[in-house]
Formats: sequence, structure tokens, C-alpha cells
Amino acid sequence: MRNNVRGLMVLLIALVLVSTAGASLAQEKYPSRPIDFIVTWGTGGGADAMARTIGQHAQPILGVAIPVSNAPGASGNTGLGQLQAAKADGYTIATYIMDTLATIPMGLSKFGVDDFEWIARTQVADSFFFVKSDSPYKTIQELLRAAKENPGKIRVAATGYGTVDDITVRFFEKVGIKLTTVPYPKPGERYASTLGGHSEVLYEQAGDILQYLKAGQLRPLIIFADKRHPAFPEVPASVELGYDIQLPQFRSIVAKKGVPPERVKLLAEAIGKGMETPAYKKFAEEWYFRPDSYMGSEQFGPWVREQVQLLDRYVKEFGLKR
Amino acid sequence: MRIPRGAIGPALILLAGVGLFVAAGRLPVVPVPGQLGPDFWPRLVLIGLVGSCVLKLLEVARAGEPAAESGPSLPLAVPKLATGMALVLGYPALAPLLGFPLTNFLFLLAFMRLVGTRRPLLLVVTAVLGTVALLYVFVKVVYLPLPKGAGVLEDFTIFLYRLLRIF
Amino acid sequence: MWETLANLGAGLAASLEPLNFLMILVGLAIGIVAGALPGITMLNSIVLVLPFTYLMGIVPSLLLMTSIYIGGVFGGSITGILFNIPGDPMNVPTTWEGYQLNRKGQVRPALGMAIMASAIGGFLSALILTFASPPFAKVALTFSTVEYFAVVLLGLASVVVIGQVSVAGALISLFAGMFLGTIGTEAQYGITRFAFGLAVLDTGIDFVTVLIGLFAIGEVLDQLSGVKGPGGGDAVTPATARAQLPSPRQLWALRGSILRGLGTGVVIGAIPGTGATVASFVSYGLEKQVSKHPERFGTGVLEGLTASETSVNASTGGAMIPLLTLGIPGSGATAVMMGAFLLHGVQPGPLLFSKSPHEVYTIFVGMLLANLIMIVMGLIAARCFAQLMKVPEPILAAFIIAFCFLGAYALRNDMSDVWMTMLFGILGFFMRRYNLPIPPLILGIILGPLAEQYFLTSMVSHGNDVTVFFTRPVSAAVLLTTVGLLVWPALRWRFGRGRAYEVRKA
Repeated sequence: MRNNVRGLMVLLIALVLVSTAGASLAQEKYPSRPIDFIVTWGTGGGADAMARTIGQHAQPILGVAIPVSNAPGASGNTGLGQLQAAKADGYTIATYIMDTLATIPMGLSKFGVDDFEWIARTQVADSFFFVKSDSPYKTIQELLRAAKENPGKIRVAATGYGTVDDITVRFFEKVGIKLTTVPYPKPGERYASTLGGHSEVLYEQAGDILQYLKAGQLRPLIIFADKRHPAFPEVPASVELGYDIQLPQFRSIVAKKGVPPERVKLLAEAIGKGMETPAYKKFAEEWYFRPDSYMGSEQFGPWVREQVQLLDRYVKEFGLKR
Repeated sequence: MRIPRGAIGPALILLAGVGLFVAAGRLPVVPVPGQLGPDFWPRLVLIGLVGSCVLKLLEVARAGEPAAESGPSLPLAVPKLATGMALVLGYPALAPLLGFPLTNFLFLLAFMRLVGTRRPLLLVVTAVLGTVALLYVFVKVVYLPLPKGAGVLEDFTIFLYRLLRIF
Repeated sequence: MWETLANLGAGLAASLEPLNFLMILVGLAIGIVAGALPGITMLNSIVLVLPFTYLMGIVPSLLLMTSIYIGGVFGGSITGILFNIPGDPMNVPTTWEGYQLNRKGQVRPALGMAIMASAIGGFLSALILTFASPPFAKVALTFSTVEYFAVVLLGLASVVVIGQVSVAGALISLFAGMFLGTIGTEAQYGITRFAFGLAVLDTGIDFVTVLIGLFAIGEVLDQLSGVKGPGGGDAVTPATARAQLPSPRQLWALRGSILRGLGTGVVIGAIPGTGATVASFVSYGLEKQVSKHPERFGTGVLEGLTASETSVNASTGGAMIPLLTLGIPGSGATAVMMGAFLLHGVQPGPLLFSKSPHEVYTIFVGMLLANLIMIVMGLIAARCFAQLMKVPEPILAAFIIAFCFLGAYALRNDMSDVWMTMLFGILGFFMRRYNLPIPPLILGIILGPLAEQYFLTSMVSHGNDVTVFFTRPVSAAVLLTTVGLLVWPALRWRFGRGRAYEVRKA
């Protein structure tokens, strides 16, 4: 009976040997097995929707399955830890969004810009201040005047301290308008707080709260961008009002540093093609993404570095980090 | 004076609570003027923890030695238990190195042997079939990216998946 | 009214279409099995089926997920009653009474009552969802973090009064759990607390790892340690473990428990973040307080089991209200459903009822049907799981641990959660040995982080004024209930010489 066990061990060793030979042959074609796609945020959020939609459209182009798994936590850094623990072979990719990038200058991230291959930027969405439709503040000027008269009385529902939301609020403080950041880490609670009148202002991208806009429950006061959005022609842009702050939400796909360049390129192209499909285009339009959202690996890396420098400047200027 | 056995646990937790309370004061607080910091809540909880330990110690002291029987009174199969705990910890320790399929096979084999299955054939067949069944459900059907192992063993796991038509 | 009925008729027709009906059956089966398996939770399974919903339309997808949800919150009570290993946290109170009933030889009525209470709670809450969603949602929006905090506090208080060997021991366990909940990345500032440079602690401790570690692995280790623990040994034989449904008369006798469970379940289910687990603990605690014989709780009382099991399933309808009417998911399960909606390009929220009445009413009818079908499925499942007792113990034990590994890993696809599960398994063994109650620790780790967040947010929103908790009427009322819950047993203890505490000790 002992022989059974021994025989099995021999079989296992043989299998290992055979498999290494098999694996070296299999290296030639990429991709030849499923690509794990780590979503660094929970199910039901924007990053999750992006990954699952793009995964769905890129799957037929790449010819392999792209199973999505969620690894939320630490503003996306938990999932990135998993990405960094995997091999740099292009079989593990992850989402990367603006909120995660903001943790780098705050000193809350274990990974820097140089730890990743920036495969493709897939979405850019502008942020707004929204108020409840029956709010007394009809325009952004009225809101800011009220804030000036009662410093700190206007509450802005945001994701947390030191986030892009908070940086925008702090920007107003620098120009003499004190608003209060109220952190609501869960999107649902954030929306409920403004809908229920428990916070006066909501900082969010338009696509995420589309249903409340269409139902006439929320209305935008200002868009943080250099020009107005075609879908909201009556909403003034921050830059045109003289407030030079614009930190658009972006979502993207990254891999671990060291993935062979031809694989990065192949992935970037497949994602780009997936974004060309009519179904994806409809999705992008409904979420008010900028039409020029897509950026391949050549431009995306440098663009991200610019964004980090910008965030870093704000964080230092507003004293967000000790 | 002898220390009642039931007092040791609460006393240790009490000390840990005080230590953590001090540690909470050293958290890197991001300055948000006028708001409670990230150390506020843990400190509140630790005060509660220390308070309830004191309560427990009073309870033990009042009850006296014989009633404070919270220690293990039943006989223990210590070697078996220690091996079981080692296996339970070895399972996650080895999975990233050997890959889930091989680790799971070895774990099932060892744990079933420990609890009492003696027949080698039954052990091996159950462990192999069990592992393959779990792989089909969790890797093939629901795409759980289980650890594949390090180095050559990762190639082995991928080979195994191909062999089983999982990939 | 006529419009609603017409919509319901159309919904009934749609949910009886082959694919839709199949999804209800499949969903219930997956949910009950996943809920019952130690290690694999209802939430695990709902996340894992998400990719399959790409292939279907929104209606079958949602029917699949709601059915998993309905079956899943119930499933854990089967293994709780049979093996003393509740599959999901919400089934812990059911287990207290259910396993004791099992030991007393009343496993058949215990299983039957669990099935029936779940079905009734779920069905009635689905009716409330169907007919009263909009007004309910309006009221829910007036609640802010102040009210959420009060409810969470009520949940925390309920576990302290739920008859323990020693109140001090329960408090230690509770505060230890609340402290464990602060480990890892903090939600508001984003800083890491109490990780001491350990990578496994960075991401925080997921309460599911604590639950399956303490209950499932702890139980296996306890059995392994050679001598059967105080709970083991005299469990039923497979042949007798067939569920026996209660008669209408028995149900009528328990109508009070059912109604209280229903009310607690629907209301607490509709509050974000809390859901089935808090509902079941609170309703059990309340049931004990209103009972004429609270001292018998914990020894196998049908009222306790009925109230907690009714509220668990009643919370499913409650949790769907904010999701469907406001687009705000309040629990893990509804957050995944939100994801399914978005993937199909449908935004749940204020426009859903007017834009997609067909889909909404099909989901309503689907939920009503699922709760009825669950009676049959529950009976079958109870029988199948009883057969597991025939499986040799070594195989059962080894596979329970393997399922715990997989369930923990599936939470975030991260090994740190598996480590946590195994370490908590060892802690669970020692807690059993030293008579430290386990449920307070689990409730502490689930509710501690919520309490912190709601408290801090309330403070920021109201200029650090603590009196806000007493000046807002709903919050004040809930806090008053909490105080009553805490003081009432102390009063009774003073006059009745602590019978409630002595009995569990025996």
C-alpha cells in the first residue's frame, strides 16, 4: 500500500518535468490562457463597471477569457499588491483610477508610478458639485457667497480626507471660501446624504449619479474643467470662473512593470478596439466620459506622471500631509 | 497569595489594551482642523476593553478560586491538536509556493490521516478526486484565480489546468 | 392600484417563463447550498455568479441573484441546527436555539420552523417591497448617519444582553471584536492603523474570515482535540433529521414572534450597512426581552429561533427597497446586484419604476415565488445535508477546512484573508476552551467599523455636537430602546436572582 504513495510522488515529479517543457513551448503565443483582471474596487462601482464592460468587449478580440475578480481596500492599493505579487507576464492586469493615484503624494501608497506598465487610459470623467433640486442655491455664485458668509456651514459629501474631492474643497478654502468635507466612503451613503439633505453639496462625476439627474433630484452647479461639457451647456466651468482647479476622474488599466513591450502594446490595442464597439460607445456616452478618453501606452505613462506632480503640488500647498 | 487561573487571560488582554492605547497616540494623523482624528475611535474602544477586563477581574476575585474555573478542565490530545493547528497554518503558507492544487491535495491527505482515515488507497483517491472536483467548480466554473505556485511549480499548475481542460 | 395589479400579472407571467423560472430554482439551490456550507457564504456565491449574468438579460440575472440572496440567508441555519456551525453570520442566533433543540431530540420541528419562518418573513417582506416601497424609501432618506449610528448601537447592545455565562466576558469579546475592526486602512483618512508593518493586517480583517475561522475551523479543532466539546456527541442520526413543518396552529401560537421578526427585519434591512445580521441579533434580543420566560432562552426555545429566522429573511425585502427606489445598495449582496444592473445598462433608482416597470414587477413576483418555493427546497436541502452526517468524520473535517480556504480566498482573492481565517480558527479553539462567548466578537467586528464611521460622520456634519443623537427624534427613540434593553435585564436580575445567566452555564 505504501507503494501507492511513492508511485504517486514519482508521477508528480514527472508531471512537473513534463510541464516545464510544455510551458516553454507555450510561451510563444500570447495570450494563450485566461488573463486575470483585478478590479481594485468593490462590485457595483465605476471601476467594476469599467472592467467588466471592457473585459466583455476585449475578450473576443484577444481570444481568451478575461475573468474579473474584485480586490477592494486601501483606495485600490490592496488589489495592486496582488498585481505586484504576480508575474510580469501579461496574464494579470488591474484597474487604476484617479483616487488611487492621489494616495501616492499623500504617502499612503506602497507603489509608485514606476512600478507599473501604464497600458491604457480608458475613461476620463469630469467632476461636478451637485445640489438637491430644491436647494436654495440656484447658482455656484450663490453657494459660494453663502459659504463665505457662514464659513464651514456648507457640507460637501466626499469620499474621504486627502482625496481628490477633499483637495478640491481645500482649494476653495485657499481662496477664502470655507466648506466642510464630510467623508462618506461608500458611494450609496454619499448620494443618500445629499438626497436626504444631510449634506448640502455632492462632489461626483455626472455618470455615477445619472439617475438622480434624470429624475430631477439633483442638479449640477459647476463642472471642474477648463470648458463646459456639451451635455451641460448651462453649467459654468471652474476655469472660466477663475478657479483654476480641475482633477477629472480617470480610470485605466495597468500591469506590473516588466511586462514585455509587445504584450503591453497588444493589450492596449485590444482594449482600444474593444472601446470602438457600438455597445461600448453607448455605455461611454451614458456615463458622460470625454470622447478623447482613450490613451495608449506611449502617451498614458507621461500623462500620469504629470497628474502626480499636479496632485503633489496641491497636497503640499494645502498642507494635507504632515 | 496565588493568582486565580481565570485572572490570567483578562489581565493579559488588559495589558495589551493599555499598550495599544499608547500606540494609538502615535498614529500619523493628517491634520483636519477641528475634527476628530483617526485615533479617537480606537481609543474609545480600548477604554471599553480595559474597563470590561477590570470588571472580569473583579468578578473572578469575588467568586474566589474554586468558581473561577474558566481554564481548560477537559483532557486534551495535545500532539494531535498541535499537528492539526500546524496543518491548518501550513495550508495557507504552502499554497503560494506549491500552488493550490498540490497544496490542497497534500492538505486533504494529511488532515484526513490525522483525524483517522488509515487506508492509503481511500486517502489518495479522496484527496485526488476532492481536489479535482474543487478545481473544476472554483477555477473552471467560477474563475477563482487561486494561487498557482512559484517558479517551476507555477508551470506545473498551468500544465495541470491544461491537462484537466480547465484552461 | 389597478395598474399595480396589472403589472403584477405581467410580472407573474414573465417570471414563469422557462429561463426566468429556472433561474429562481437554480438561485435558490445555489444560495441554500452556499449559505449552508461552512466557509462559503451567500455573498461569496452571489459575487461568483456575477460573470454568468453577462450572458443573460437583466430580468433572469436579477432573479438569479435575488433567489441566491433569499436562499443564502436561510441556508446557514441548516448547518447551524445540524452541526452547530452556522454557515453565515445572520444564522448565529438561530443556531443558539436550533442546535439546543437538536440536542433535545427536536431537530425535526427546529428545521421545519426555520424553513417556515424564513419563508413567511421573506414572503411578507417581499409584499411590503411590492406595495410600499416609495413611501418606505422616502422615510429612509430622512435618516442620516445619526440614526444609522443609533441602530448600530442597538445591535451592539443586543448581543450583550443575549444571555451569556458572564456579562464581563461578553463585553471583553465585544470590545476585542470592535478593536479588531479598527485594524487596517481607515476609511476617512486612508491611513493604516495597528498593522505593525504586517502585510496581512494592512488590508484589515474581513468579518467573514472571523466568522468562518471561529465557528467552522474552531469547531473542527475542538473536535480534533480528542474530547468532545460540551456541544458535541449527542447530535442526531441522519434518519431522524427530516424537517417537520409546523402546523398552522403552531404558527398562530408564534404569531407575535413572527410579526416582531418581520418588523425588525424589514426596517433594519432597509438601513444601509446593517442588514440581515443586525436584524437577526436585534430581533433575538428583543424577543428575549418581551418573553415571559427569558431564562429559558439558549436552551432550545422556538420563539427565539422563529423571531431571528423570520427577521433574517424579512431583511431581504427591506434591503431591496433602497436599492430599487434610490439606487443605493445597503448591503454586500445588494451592492453586487447594483453591479449587475449597471452592466446591463439599467440604473436602479428613482426612474426604475417608471422606465422599467416590467423588470421591477417581475423581480417582485420572482421574490414572492422564490420565498414560496423555498419551503420545498429547504425541506430537500435539510434532508441532503443531514446525509452529510454519514460521511466519515475525517473527510468531512478536511473538506470543511478546504471550503473555508476557498471561501476566505474568494472574498478578495487574497491570501491574507485565508491566513486570517486559519488564525481565527485557532483563536476560536481557545475561546471555546476558556468559555469566552464568540458571537459578541463577531458582531463587534461587523458593527464596530460602521459605528465608528457613522459616529465620526455625524460629528463632522453637526459640528462635533454629541447632543444631536438625543435631539433627533428617531435616533432618540432607538437609543431609548437600547437603554431599555440594557437596563431591563439588570432590573430583572436584581429581583429574580439572575436565573437568565445561570441556565446557560449549566
